[in-house]
Amino acid sequence: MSATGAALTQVTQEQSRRRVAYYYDSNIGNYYYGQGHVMKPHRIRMTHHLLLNYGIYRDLEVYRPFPASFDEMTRFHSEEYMTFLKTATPDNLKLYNKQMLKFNVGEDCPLFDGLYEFCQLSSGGSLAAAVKLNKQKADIAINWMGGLHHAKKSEASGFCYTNDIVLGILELLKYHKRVLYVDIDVHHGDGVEEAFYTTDRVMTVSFHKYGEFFPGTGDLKDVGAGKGRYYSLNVPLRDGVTDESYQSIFKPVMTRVMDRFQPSAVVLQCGADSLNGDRLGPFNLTLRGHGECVKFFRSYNIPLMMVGGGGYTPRNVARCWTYETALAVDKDIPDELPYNDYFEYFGPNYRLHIDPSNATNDNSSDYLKKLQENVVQNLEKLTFAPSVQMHPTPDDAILCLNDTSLNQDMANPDVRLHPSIMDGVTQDPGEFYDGETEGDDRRNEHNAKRAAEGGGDDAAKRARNDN
Amino acid sequence: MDPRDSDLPDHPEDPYPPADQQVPPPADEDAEDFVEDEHEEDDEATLDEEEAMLEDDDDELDDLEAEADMDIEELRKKYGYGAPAPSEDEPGISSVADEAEEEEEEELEVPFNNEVIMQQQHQFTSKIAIESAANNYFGVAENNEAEEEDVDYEPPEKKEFQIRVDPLLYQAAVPESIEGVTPSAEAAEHPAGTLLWAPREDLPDESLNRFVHEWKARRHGVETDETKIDSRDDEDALYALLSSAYSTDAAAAHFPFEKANEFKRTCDGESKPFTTEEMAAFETGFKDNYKNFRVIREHFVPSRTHGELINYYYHWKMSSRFNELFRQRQMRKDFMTEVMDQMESTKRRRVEPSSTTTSSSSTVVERGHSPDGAPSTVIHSENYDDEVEYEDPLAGAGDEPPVDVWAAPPPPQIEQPTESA
Repeated sequence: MSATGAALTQVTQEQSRRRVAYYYDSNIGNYYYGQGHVMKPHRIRMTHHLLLNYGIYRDLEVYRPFPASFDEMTRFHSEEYMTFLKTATPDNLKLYNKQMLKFNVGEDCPLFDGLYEFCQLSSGGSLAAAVKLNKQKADIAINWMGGLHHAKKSEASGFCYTNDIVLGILELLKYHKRVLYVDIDVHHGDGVEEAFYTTDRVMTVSFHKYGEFFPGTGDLKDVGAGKGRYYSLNVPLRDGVTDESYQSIFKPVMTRVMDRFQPSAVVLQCGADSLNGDRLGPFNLTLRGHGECVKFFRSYNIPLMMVGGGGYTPRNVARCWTYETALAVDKDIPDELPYNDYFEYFGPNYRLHIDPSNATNDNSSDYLKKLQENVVQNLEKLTFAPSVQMHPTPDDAILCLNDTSLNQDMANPDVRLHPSIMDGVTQDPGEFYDGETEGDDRRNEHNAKRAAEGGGDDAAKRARNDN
Repeated sequence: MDPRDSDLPDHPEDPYPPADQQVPPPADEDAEDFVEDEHEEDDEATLDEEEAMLEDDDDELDDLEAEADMDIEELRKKYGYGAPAPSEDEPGISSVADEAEEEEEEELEVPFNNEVIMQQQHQFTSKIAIESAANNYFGVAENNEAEEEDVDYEPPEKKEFQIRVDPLLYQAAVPESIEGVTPSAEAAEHPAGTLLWAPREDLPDESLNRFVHEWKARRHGVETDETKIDSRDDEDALYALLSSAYSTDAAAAHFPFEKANEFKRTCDGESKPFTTEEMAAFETGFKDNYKNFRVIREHFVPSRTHGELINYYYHWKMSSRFNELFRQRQMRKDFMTEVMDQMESTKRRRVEPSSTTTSSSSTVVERGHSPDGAPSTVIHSENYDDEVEYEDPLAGAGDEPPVDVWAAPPPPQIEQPTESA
């Protein structure tokens, strides 16, 4: 009895365990957008210190990612724009007046010291995270340096310069037929939506405040275009949304999306500006409501990439992302914050969780119900799991492609493969054709040997000949 | 869309975006004027920009053509004239007024804790739903005294709030199907990065705790106290353990440990602790330039990189040295608070309850077209403007967490921010 119990627990533990890779570069905290700017990369360092001092760090596979290269970033961004980011600095800014206007760099998105490095780090983390998931070396990959979802192909926007999410998804698309992007930032994830607006391989779902709010896009009616029609989903919400009302629409909608779209990888943008007390966001979520979204995707056992994003009350951002990292590794952490380098920032209560405010929730249950109906209607129009009958499922494809011998079989026989591949190839002793080694008459030798060993060989030979 | 404000059917949502925050769309005639205004003193740059505008004329013609074919509803949507929302007017307004008063009082108590002000302002603006935020991340959070004069200023054409479709200009290139993974594709993959730690199942937590604790204590020159062992991690110690194939003994031989995640890009070589002179120079620079680290670095602490200064700043801000500086400022500010109290009480008498025009200096009301001129709202926003004028730079552009320096326990004096993050 007790043995069965133990076995059962073990099974559940096995199921709930996830290999979590975490990407962080300490330099990220040393960039400063400028005086009075609400975006503070320092919040990522605060998160990191909480992870260390909570002892969550030891459960993570920690990487310091290599910065993304120019070429990698131009997989999405235009070369002209990236060249501008690379060359313009606060010192020579006068030379770039024209470009600054064109690329929307200046006000919301200032040109600060080390801007290009900053972009490289944030994009490098998401790229490395995507590669890790592609290689199936981790179940969850986290990059709090990323999540800059407003950046456009040739334009900075909303504190974002390079769109690490788009770069990461493009990388995931090399191995995954369909990728789902979910955005729980208080702002609409317009950069990612725009990038994948016309494709059916990426579905973008964004829950955001809509109406007189940055960036102004994200209407319920925007559903994608061309082939990507109905592959963009927007859930516009109003001020003061609480944990309960948020989850009352998040869960049913996302369950349906997962059923219908059947993604093989998910990217979750965990913008923390949807929390209560954010300097820009008018929502009223707590860590629990926000983290519920992480739990939701964790429960599906498919590769999950978690990235950061907005969040303009640094102490709450650090709290939120620490909590969500703990959820990813499934570790219970106490409410009392451990002492850390930035402990004073968490006063006056020095606790992990934040309380909701009693702000009015402008999202009535009627409104949410109607919204859900509309969203589901859009979802119904989606072609069920596109192209699924035509192609092998993504999982099979990966297994197939990872098997190097199959890869060789499929290779063009007229092209000599690289020595690094062929060096490892030895001829199977059971091969019955005249190969390059013809002349030493290994075939007969071999047959004689097998015959001496006994039966079964003839049958095998016949089977091969049949083929 | 806030129901309290968007319910006025005859009141299109045309914001007066903060003049110098609005980045106009390039192919925009109005924007041209607007740019000229902003860079009046720099004629050459302006010419360049004009040329840039002219180059984009083709697009504009196309756009206009496209617009001619649109139906009126689409056009309205394109230019941000949303459909009117259902009305739930009255209760909303009165509660806003009440809360605004409450906030006003709070604000007077801690007038210089700028973070608080920013927060309140944020709540406040979101409550009365000023119709401007859509074009700018900050919304109204950053006030501009300059724009107060621009009552007649026509806002530049509103940015299109639509996802743009053009595979070359806006969309990512997505291959139709999964690419065959060839050796060249593998090579083009982003490298995994430097592994700093990987968890291992057979390594018990206790031994890990002891290992980390021992080396942390040794680094700080403290005796190892067996009773205080906790589960806090030290990335350098764990990195050493990983490098020594999880053998605690082998790792111990490498003490002092290599920094696992050092500032490689934002500092030159190893980040050494600040010397007393550097600290003093930083503080002098900070007093005059506030958080303009660029200037501070150039003129006060040239021995440090920009990144080091920022790192130091975040430690220093919570140290007793900063508190001291802050207190000196605070004393000066107490006097200013009194002056402001007086000014405000006179203003309260002056403002007519039903008129919004008296408050033409108030950006908030101006932009918000507050429906019935909610009087307390007007006063509130004016107070705010006053505060901005009197604001002492040290009180902060308020972009830091509102740590209540008075309520918080005295923070330990951090003089050596050598952390490796």
